[in-house]
Amino acid sequence: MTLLAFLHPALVGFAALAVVPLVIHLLNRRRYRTVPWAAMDFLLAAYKKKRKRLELENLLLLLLRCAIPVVLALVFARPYFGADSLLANLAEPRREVVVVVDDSYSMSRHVGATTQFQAALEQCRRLAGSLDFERGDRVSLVTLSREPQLLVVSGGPADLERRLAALQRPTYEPADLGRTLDLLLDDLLKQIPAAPEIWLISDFQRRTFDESARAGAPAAAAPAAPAAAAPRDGAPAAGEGTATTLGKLQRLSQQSRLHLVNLSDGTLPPENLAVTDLRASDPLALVGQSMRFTATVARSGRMPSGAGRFRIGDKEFQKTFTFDAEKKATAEIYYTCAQPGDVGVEFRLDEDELADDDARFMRIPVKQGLPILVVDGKPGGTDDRLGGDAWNVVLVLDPRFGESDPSEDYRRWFEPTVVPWYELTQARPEFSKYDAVVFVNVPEIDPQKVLPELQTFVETGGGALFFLGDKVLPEKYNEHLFRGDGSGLLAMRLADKPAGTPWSPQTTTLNSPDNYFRLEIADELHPAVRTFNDDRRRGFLRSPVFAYWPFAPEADAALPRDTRVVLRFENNQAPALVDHRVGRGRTLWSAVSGAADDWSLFSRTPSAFFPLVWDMLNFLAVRDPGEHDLTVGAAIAKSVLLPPATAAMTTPDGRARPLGDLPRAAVRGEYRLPVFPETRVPGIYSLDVTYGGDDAPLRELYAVNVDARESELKFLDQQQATSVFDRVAIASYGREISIENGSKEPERQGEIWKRLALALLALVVLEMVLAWRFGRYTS
Amino acid sequence: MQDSRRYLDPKVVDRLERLEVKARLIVEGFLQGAHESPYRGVSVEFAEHREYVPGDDLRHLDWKVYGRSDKYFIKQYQEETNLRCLIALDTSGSMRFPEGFDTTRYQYGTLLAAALSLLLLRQRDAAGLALFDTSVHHFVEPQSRPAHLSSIVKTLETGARAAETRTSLLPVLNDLAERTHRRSLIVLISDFFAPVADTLKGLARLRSRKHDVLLLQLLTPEELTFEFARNTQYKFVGLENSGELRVDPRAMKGEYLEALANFRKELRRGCLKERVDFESIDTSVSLDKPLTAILSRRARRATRR
Repeated sequence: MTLLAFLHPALVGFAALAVVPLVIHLLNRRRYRTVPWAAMDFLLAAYKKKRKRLELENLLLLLLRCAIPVVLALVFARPYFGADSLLANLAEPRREVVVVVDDSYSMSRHVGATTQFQAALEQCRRLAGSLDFERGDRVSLVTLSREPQLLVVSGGPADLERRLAALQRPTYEPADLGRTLDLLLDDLLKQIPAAPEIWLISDFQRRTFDESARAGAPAAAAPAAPAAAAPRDGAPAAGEGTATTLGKLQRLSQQSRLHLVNLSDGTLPPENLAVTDLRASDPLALVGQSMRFTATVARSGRMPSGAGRFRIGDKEFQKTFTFDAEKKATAEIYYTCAQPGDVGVEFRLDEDELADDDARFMRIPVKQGLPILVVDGKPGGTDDRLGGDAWNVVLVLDPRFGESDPSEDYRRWFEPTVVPWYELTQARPEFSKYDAVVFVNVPEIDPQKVLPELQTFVETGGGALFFLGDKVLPEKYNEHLFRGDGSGLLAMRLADKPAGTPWSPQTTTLNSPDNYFRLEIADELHPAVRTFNDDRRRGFLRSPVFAYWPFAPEADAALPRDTRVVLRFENNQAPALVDHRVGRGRTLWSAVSGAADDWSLFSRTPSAFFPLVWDMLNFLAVRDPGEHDLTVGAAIAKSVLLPPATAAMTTPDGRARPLGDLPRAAVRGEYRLPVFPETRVPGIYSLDVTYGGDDAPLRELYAVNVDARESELKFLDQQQATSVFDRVAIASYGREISIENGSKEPERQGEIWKRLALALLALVVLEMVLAWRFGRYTS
Repeated sequence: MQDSRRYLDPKVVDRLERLEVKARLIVEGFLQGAHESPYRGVSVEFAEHREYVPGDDLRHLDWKVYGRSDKYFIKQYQEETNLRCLIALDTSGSMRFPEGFDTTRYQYGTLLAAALSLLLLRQRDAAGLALFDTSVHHFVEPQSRPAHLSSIVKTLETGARAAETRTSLLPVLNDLAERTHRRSLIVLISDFFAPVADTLKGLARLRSRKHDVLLLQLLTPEELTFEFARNTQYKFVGLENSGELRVDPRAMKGEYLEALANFRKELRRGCLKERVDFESIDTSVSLDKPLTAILSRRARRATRR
């Protein structure tokens, strides 16, 4: 309990103004008028008679004048006393109440006729009804969510009711107890008198209050660790243990009286289905190509099966599903997109106790094909486009490349265009017309005519794949494409010369694995090697490599930022395939030649080369992966390559909202549209951008989903809550607000500024009266 | 005709340069005033005739006697030969108060002394002057010649000296007693800021020589009211090396006035006891009051004889 503290401690410093009257008094002693006087004897006699009384009067007036600024400063500093203070009896007895209402989306669960959120608001009103605002009781309102808010700070009944009436429903976001505690400790408690009552009204979802349920570790086992930046999805960062939130709760309970209101305690177990995932078989679809969409459903309760419906574009498809032993079920559908463009996909369940998790959304881009530019570093044959080093790659992308009359049924996934490398410098290369660019054994990238365009292309989301072969000039690559800060297209410098020995019938033998290099997966999760995650295919990677172009990392041997090693050589662990992020795009660097040459047999092994190239280019061709799938509350940011004329975002309720001031100038080749932060509701958001002239407008979809973890409807009962809050001092625990606790005469704690103000008034009046009485004022 | 009564205001008359002119204007104003002129009311009794000699003032020829006797005789009045008045004016440092203002106490005293001298000489009384501070430093023997005014005026104009020492009246009064052989009316003009006991002792000495004594205590408005408008401290510096004091006058007013009143009361009481007339004069008021007081005493003295 606080013995004495101040609401505005900085204002206490103004009490130092008490020296002003003293200074004035001392200055006045040096300021006087000299008057020659004849009747001096009488004056001296009078002074002798009155001297002591005069000194006493002056002292009294000085003390009063010094006391006035001190009391005034205290009035504005608003001191308050705790109940233990000796001066507590001077304080105005009143209650300072803080209500923390859980407004995460689990609170929209129906229990009986109302939702948990409505029950929480009712508890708020009940608590407010027990307060005596005439006496000076005050209430603050805080929301417990991922973005907690101070809605009312030490307000009256009108403030509270206005805010409660505006809360129509909880947010679609999960709860974040840590952030809410930070808001209370670092903000609210500094604005209101000490030791308030804090009423925490929640459904006490286990994952909100028990961090062991979030992190999967036993409670209190993790040591206190420095707070790390949390990932965007709100999961605790590595190293942030129970101690952090628990420590905050302990601090809070020391500075206040903490009451817990568990709305879930005693209620029936939930019966709820939640769509926790929705994904497609490929990151993008081809017109006419069949895609598989899979929805995952989790269960709280005992339903053995369920039903839902896919909505793809404007078509709906009903599906049923059955739960396995893990309480998970999947629903699948195969769908062929007939038109290019973004398609919104939704899977929705029938409404149940908690409707907010009954749907999930995704966006799939649909294309006619993926135009790929293949730059041949060693063209060959009568047609420079065919037969060179790039031919191997081209055939992977389009096996019927160059055929004049393919059948009607033939659909190209990739649409390669082959150019000899030296033709790039003849005209300004238009990389933006392609989804990815492949450089096969290209000696160098022209630094004046090609590299600037290529750099912009990658930074604005494009992908480039480099196969390094015998034509490569490493010094040129190192000089023009490598930058020490990682912003260059080349992740790591190239060595001066290749490693290994090209195949030769005279010297190369395959009788021992030590005579050649073999590949292995370094990053299991990388999309470029997903085909080889299947153990049945993994062995194909071991196709012999006789020579390769090694990377030469910097002396400190740490990988550059935004760089991943996808494949490495099993023999010496040297990187074989490197993924490097540049801006919003990526480059892939293959130390293994992509040509069908004597550097490796790998490129001639269809079962290995084909799926690897396919997966790499699929990976590179998908622009802005993950930026179209967002959680509620995340902002939508988009850049375009042409100056926009108009831009609008259509929200799931059908309202189109202009984006505001559009950019007039490009920054690093892109026009950055205003950020759209209003993703408070899950669903499909549609961005429409038009340009001047004949340029086709842009339409892109964004899927905004709730955080599925909030659907884990496991709640703490009293025993579990007691265990979780073991080291936290709790004033009371119950299923509802206990009016009995509130009806007692509250502890005498609070402010005394009103009494101080009266004392100040009395001091001023007394000073005036005494000054007049002592004759210090002129008549 | 110009109203000469305005010259009774010391602030008005003090602007004039010559003291003699001032005195004449004061007297004219006094005589012109609405109040009873003690001059007219004084009974100037015929005493005797004497034979006319050339040079006598023809206004005093008794024409009735001439009609009866064909001889010229001049009327002689009783007062011409009876009243001697000595005006003793304090010139000590305290009389310079208030310095820098229109009329100091000393200037008021000189105006009063000059006017009084003229009045007396016009009535053929003998008027004399004594200037004193710690002692009598200038003495003009009383005479009744009209031309004696210039001597008195000249002494008033040049006689003041820069005395810093404290006034002590007993030696002065004793000195006056020694110098005044013939019975006289002695008018003492001062603030009398001195030990009362000594003053009374001196007065008793004068009374023992059968002199009539009149005390005119001159006090300034500042001393009488002790009002200070500015809200600040004042440093009071005594004019006769009597010390200094820094104080807020508003805090001391009551006690100071009480001390002054007690002093005046004691002095008045003592004068009453010694049968000495006492008048307290505010130097901001017109001069007719002190003049009236003096001439009233003169008239009473004349009637007693």
